[in-house]
Amino acid sequence: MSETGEMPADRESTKSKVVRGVKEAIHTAFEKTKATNSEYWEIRKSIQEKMAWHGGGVYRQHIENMDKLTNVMFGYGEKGFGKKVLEASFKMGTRLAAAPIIGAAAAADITYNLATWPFRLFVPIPKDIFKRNILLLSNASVAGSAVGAGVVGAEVAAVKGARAVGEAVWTTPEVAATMAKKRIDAIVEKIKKPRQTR
Amino acid sequence: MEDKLRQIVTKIEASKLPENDKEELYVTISEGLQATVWPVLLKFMPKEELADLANNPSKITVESYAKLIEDTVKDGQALKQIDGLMNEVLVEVEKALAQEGIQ
Repeated sequence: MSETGEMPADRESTKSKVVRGVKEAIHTAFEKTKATNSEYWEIRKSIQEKMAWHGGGVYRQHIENMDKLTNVMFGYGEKGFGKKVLEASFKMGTRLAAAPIIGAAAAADITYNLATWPFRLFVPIPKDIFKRNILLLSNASVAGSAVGAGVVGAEVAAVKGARAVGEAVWTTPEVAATMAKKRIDAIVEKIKKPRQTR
Repeated sequence: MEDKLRQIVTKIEASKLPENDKEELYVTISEGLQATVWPVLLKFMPKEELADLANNPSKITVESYAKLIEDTVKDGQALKQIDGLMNEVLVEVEKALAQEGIQ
């Protein structure tokens, strides 16, 4: 649900106590953070539940205006939709790069991703973006930005080689530590920029 | 915020949780962080600029949309508040993990 900027949905099927605990913690955090813009949440809730809103008329208009804008801007299936998304992504990237984001770079990344990718309203983020094989693939791009394509190519080749000769290679502490660090980098990157998965 | 996020991911990775649970935790955290964005953006958005665009669809272009978002975040206040809220979410996540022995 967060693709639309709403509260994360509960997944009743969750079995793990840890996962359940973290979900509850996030809901607790939301209860606190909702005070930041309680009017927004109340109106959103009423719109979601298709209830009539009997207060905050002006603010409701702001929210509806934003929805209208999003629909015109990124209306799914419209001509030039993909091009618009790419263009918006590029232009906003350039503009946001100049914005004062000292100390809030990660927040800016997530904000930028959401604002340039509102067609998640129609095409939700795939839930499997944190699966190991996807992260291994994305390791190449994370490492690539840091050390260059040549090295990445060698690393990918090394990984393929390691797979070819068997799992024992993975037990080498240095390799395991490097892979663990890369996986963590990839997860953090995916949380910051999920749209790049697609 | 990123440092805290990295610490949390590192703890989860080092834990003995099953792979599926780890993935679900990352999705949950990702959604939790993203959900802080739009309420704050809308709060700081120049409302007249927004209304003008919404009432004049022909004015809605990539450029005008990008400008609207830029105008919303350019003084840094919105991002600062989003960053603060994201930190609060991560603090709660960290507490919940600690309660389950992941620290």
